Amino acid sequence: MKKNKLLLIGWDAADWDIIWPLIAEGKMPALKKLIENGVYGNMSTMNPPYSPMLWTSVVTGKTPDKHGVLGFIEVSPDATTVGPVTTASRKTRALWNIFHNKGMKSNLVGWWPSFPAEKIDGYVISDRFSKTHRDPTKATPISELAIHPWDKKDDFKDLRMFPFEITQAHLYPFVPRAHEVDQENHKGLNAIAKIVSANTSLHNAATKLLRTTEWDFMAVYHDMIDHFCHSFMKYYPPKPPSVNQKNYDIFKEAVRGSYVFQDMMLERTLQLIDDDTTVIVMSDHGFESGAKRILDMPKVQAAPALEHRQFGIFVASGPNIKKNEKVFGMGLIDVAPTILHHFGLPIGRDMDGKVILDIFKETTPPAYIESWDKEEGDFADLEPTENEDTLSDEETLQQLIDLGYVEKLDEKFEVAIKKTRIDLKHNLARVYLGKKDFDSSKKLLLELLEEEPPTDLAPFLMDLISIAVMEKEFEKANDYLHKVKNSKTQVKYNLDYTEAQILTEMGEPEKALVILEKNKETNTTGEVLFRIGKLKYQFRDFENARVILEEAIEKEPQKATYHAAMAETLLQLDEYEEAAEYALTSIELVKYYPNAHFLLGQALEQLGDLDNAKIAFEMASKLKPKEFHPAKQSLENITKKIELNLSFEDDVTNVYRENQITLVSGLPRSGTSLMMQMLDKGGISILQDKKRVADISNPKGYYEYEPVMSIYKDNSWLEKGQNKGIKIVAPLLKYLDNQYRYKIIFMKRDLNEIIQSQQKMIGKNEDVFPVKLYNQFQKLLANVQVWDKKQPGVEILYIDYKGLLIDPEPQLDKIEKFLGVSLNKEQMKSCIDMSLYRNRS
Amino acid sequence: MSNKNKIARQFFDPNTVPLEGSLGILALGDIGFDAWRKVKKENNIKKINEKK
Repeated sequence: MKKNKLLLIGWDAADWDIIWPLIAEGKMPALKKLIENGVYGNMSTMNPPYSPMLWTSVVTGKTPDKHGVLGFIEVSPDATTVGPVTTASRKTRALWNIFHNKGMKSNLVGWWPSFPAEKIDGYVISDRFSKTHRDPTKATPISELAIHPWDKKDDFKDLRMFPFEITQAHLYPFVPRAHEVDQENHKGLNAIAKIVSANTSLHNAATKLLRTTEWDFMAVYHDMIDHFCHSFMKYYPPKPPSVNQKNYDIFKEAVRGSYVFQDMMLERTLQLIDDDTTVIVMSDHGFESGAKRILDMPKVQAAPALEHRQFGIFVASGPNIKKNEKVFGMGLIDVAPTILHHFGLPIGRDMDGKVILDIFKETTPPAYIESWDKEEGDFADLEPTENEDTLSDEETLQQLIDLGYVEKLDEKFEVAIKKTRIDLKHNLARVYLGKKDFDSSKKLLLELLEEEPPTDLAPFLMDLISIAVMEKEFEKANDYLHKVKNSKTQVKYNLDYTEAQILTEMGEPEKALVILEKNKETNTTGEVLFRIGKLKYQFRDFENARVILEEAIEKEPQKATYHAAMAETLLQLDEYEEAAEYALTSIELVKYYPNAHFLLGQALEQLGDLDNAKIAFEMASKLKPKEFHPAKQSLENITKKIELNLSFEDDVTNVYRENQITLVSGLPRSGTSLMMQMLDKGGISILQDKKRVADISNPKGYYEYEPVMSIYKDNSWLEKGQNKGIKIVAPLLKYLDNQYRYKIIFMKRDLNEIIQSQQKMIGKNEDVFPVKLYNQFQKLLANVQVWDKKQPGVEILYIDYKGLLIDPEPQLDKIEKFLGVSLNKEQMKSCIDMSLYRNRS
Repeated sequence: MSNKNKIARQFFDPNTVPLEGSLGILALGDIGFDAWRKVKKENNIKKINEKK
């Protein structure tokens, strides 16, 4: 047997949520053995999560816009009909093409799509091999294009199992009460017969190839778990309220049964390979098995894909694979580069994925070439064929229709072709959206909006809303939302949720919260709860934010963002240990999540664990170096603390920060102009434009810079403020750009005095005390403290206005020390004019 | 043939394959499926002969 062989096994839709309990019960011993002797982790899917697109990404290392497989069906080359997607749609080379060129042998079994079979060095048992006619009296010849090499077809033709061969002995392990099924009204047993027989056919072909052929690479694909889940997930425990009790009792073991049988096949497969073979078992996406199961399938193309979950599985075991370790950050497009690297072959720079070096015990840096598609030579590229294969097409298409992935095709082919083209275009737009190539996505979506009825435009509008929100074009987003509301779409979108998202991004969180809380009465999904929790946080209602986020996490415990939001909330509640735990859970779910590492660092810093906090900040900074200023600043702060041997409670405020921006802030009429004057006299260069001239309220001048007033729209001028002093009132602090370091001298003055001074300045009746305004100011001051806690690049020194006037020396010493620069304190003191201390309380 | 295949065959006796088949037989792959088909074929022949 050859060394360095690699066997890739695809279990469509396999999900850890179902696997772990089965492993704990001892029902998946083969997979358990692979995990114990290898690595495992989550496999991140892509959008849209349509299996032929995804499995093609797996073997090409490219996103669907590059590999060309854009859906379940395709328009025929001569544009006269539509049919299930074929190899002809793929416009880039797959792994086996590369191996063929390198003189390596590859076997493919059931890969989706692999029909028509490419003439590689090895065997191809294509995805059409297992498709048989539903009518047992009708023959199902194997197409010449379904097997390669065709002269070996006799070795495989009798390995196909037909649905009518399924017996009770095969059914009972899945459905112990199969004899109770009302087969007139429930087609569940027929579905199982088809799925099991088709997958058995493929397993038979795979085991034959494993036993009797020489190979270097082998890829085997099974759709059993996916098809069982689509048919029977509604019966998976716990029973959803709307599901029929009798059917639930009968079919509740079906899904688990499919996993157990798949593992039995794996056990046999592992018996047929040697210890030098590397095995990968993976899925393209997960499958919802909890509260997010869809019980009432909407009538849209590929609706079953709505049941797919973000994370599938990845397991690898072999001589050069680490043992019993979890790996993170794997995506479907990473599989092909990783397999190429395993074989010592270079990666195409046009591949979108990367080599996951973490899985290997020993490794070398990956090598690269421009593109495998540009290499000359024999790659067994597919030749165009004029052969028709209507029967195989018909059965495959019928299966897709039965599963609900494809609507029953219109009898008029021209209509079917048009619908297919629209769907493929939309899928491509969604791929671009997933890649954040908004311009390319928008172009296609806007073209799709020109389609006439009965085309449902709502899916295109929803994607345009997502883009408009990300590009901060809120008017457009609202316009599209309005159109969706007025459309006759069959899809039950949660438009309240969408509207709340837009309002939040527009800076109208109060309105967003009202809508979401009303929506919550009928729709308590994790997403809605999470949004409400984030808004509660924004309103500083941390206790309620905690309660709501707990509910969200209970609904969807796998959401890293929910755990991170909880960590953030707990930091505000000074519950640092719990905050650290939630941050760690978030990282466990998604390792490469910069914000989660940052939150962990903050929690650890507060717990006094400076060394580990530093590691967490380093990771956060490394993962997002260009934008993550708070992490970099936190890292600087903590490094300084460790250098200066400070305890975790100490501030590092008395250090000059390179290019620091000195801000003077507070409520209006709290003494900010006086402080600006003092800094000016003290030697700090001031950023001002003198547009507002001195007056009776401020006889010594305002020291203002006009762009400050519109900082919420544009804060780019802050660059000019480096090593200078700027005046900025407290409500505007939240618009500061966090890439800079700020030293804020915050003026505190008795609130009653402030309000009196303001009332006088604007000519209001000083005898009428504005209670509402007083409360708002108190809230604002508290908000500043909350904001300060989150900003590692911000240091605040609170200066009491009255204290400054009456006893300036200690205050001036504090300011000098805080700023870390030498100041002319005598000149600063000379600015004090007690005659201007009016409106005393 | 590797030791693993020998071990697999020791546990699989084609003569004990039941007519109804089983998931275990199917999980064995091509050799189990072949053996099961043989049993079914022999059983059909037997029935035909009995009728005769």
